[in-house]
Amino acid sequence: MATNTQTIKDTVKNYLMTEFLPGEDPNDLTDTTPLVTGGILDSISTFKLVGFLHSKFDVKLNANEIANHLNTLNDITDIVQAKQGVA
Amino acid sequence: MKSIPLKSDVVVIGGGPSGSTAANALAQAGYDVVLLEKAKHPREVVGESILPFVWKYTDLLGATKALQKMRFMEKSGGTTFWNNQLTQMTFRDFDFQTPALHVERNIFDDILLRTAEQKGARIFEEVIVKDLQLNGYDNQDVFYFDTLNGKSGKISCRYLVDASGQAALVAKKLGFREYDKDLRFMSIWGYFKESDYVALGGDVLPFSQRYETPPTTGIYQIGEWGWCWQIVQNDQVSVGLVLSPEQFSEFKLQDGNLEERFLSACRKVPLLSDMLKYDTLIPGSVRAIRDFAYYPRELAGKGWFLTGDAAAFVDPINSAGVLGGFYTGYMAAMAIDDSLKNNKNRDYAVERFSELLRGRMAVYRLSALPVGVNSYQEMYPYALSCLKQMSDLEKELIYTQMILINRTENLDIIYQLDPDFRRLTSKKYTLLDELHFPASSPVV
Ligand SMILES: Cc1cc2nc3c(=O)[nH]c(=O)nc-3n(C[C@H](O)[C@H](O)[C@H](O)COP(=O)(O)OP(=O)(O)OC[C@H]3O[C@@H](n4cnc5c(N)ncnc54)[C@H](O)[C@@H]3O)c2cc1C
Repeated sequence: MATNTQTIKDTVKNYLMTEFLPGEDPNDLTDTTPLVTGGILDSISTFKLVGFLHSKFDVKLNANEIANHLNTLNDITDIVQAKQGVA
Repeated sequence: MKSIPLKSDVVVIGGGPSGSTAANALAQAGYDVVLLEKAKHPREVVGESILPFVWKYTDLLGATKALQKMRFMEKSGGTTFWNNQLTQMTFRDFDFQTPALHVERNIFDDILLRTAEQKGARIFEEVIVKDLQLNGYDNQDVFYFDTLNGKSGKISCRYLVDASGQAALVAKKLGFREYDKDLRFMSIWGYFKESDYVALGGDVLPFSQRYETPPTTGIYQIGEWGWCWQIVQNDQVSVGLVLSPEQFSEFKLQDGNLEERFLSACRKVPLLSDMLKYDTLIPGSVRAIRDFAYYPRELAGKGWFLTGDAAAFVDPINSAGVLGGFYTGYMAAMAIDDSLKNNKNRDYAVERFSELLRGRMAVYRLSALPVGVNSYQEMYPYALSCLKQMSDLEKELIYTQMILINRTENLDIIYQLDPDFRRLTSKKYTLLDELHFPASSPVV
């Protein structure tokens, strides 16, 4: 079942805020904030995030997708939508 | 006296950093965890130089305070003498708020094990795992011998973590423990009561000054392939040789017992040889290990995960072994948690865990491998995807380590694989012309 862009983005943003940026200002996390290169998502949190995307949206990302498509909220939203489209 | 139960959610084999991490994290997540450890901690193990990333894990494990209390030696950075070039790096340049350490591993590991116990893991020491049967998800049998009561027994579990270090029980049992063809080194190490050491800036200082002016970890090249470490701890100095098979053959030909041969090999290491106090070698402290680098065929399967050295070990040169123990132990705990919470996730958890570990290992392997030697071309894509998942800071640190030991060319193939991947760079190192030895004291 496909989910619309804004819903995906909000759900992921909400998850990132509560899991990895508690107490931080949600306005500081924009659609283009670098998550991986900027050090917000490390390997542990990426592992958790990928598990979350799997259980929430039923998408399985492969290593290549994990490496290339998780650096911003926009990237994450795009890859989730693309994978849902295929499914 | 507590006795080993017949069943648990998870059994962890081995109580080194990786086993304690997995057991701790799973116990915190509410699972019933049993950890079986052959030795009685504090037990002896090599590997004292610790990168500052570890505090991230000790925070998660609740072990930071207990470790801080021990006041392990804080190191300021690294000094290498490689291809006749002296180079230094310092962790200060990498924004770390927490120090890198030179630890007494017996104490360090003991604290991690006790912390896991406090978090609810059930720890049984002096229990040797003898055999295991992996029967698919939710169904593993572990056979052990309890040396305290002389009895054999069996415990069944849903998930198994093999953290048995170089013993690598699962990989050996399944027949896929394989030497790394490119890293067939031998190591001989020992402990001195004291030695001079190199501080930032290149001053050579006496042991007594280690608290005022912290030491760097010394890495000195030996011939083309070998190298030597010098790690100043609170009450001793760890010195180790890492030798190629050819160098080791030469080593064996020297006269004397292991200690004497170790000392005479140390005398031949440029720079280090001028800092050692040979007569302070602690008797009985010299140890050796060969072929410690393994290449893993598989890292996890239906109901089992390999962590730490039991999964793979590359080369001690980048001081990442203990860090890898934390990382893989924690990842295994998360993968098991995910699997136990939701059955449908379990194959995917095995897949992701294996890919992550393979990637990490590929990166550290590239950072240690002599340039131009790689028998495992299939590792490159994994290295690329792992590098892409690292923060800029992490990449810069690894790259700096590679500069120090002349390994940066190893990345060329990575750049060819993906032209969009930005070349790594670093300015965070300093070339030194020479070390400043203290003017020799006047002869009276
Ligand atoms: C020469 C050399 C130098 C090194 N230097 C460094 C360094 O400077 N910095 C660094 O970070 N790393 C270094 N390392 C690597 C580091 O020591 C290891 O990576 C680290 O100890 C791995 O932790 P572990 O928990 O996987 O295994 P270990 O610490 O080895 O723990 C494994 C545990 O399993 C137990 N065990 C084994 N068999 C059984 C059994 N059958 N039943 C029950 N228990 C069992 C053992 O008693 C042991 O306690 C070095 C390694 C070598 C070889």
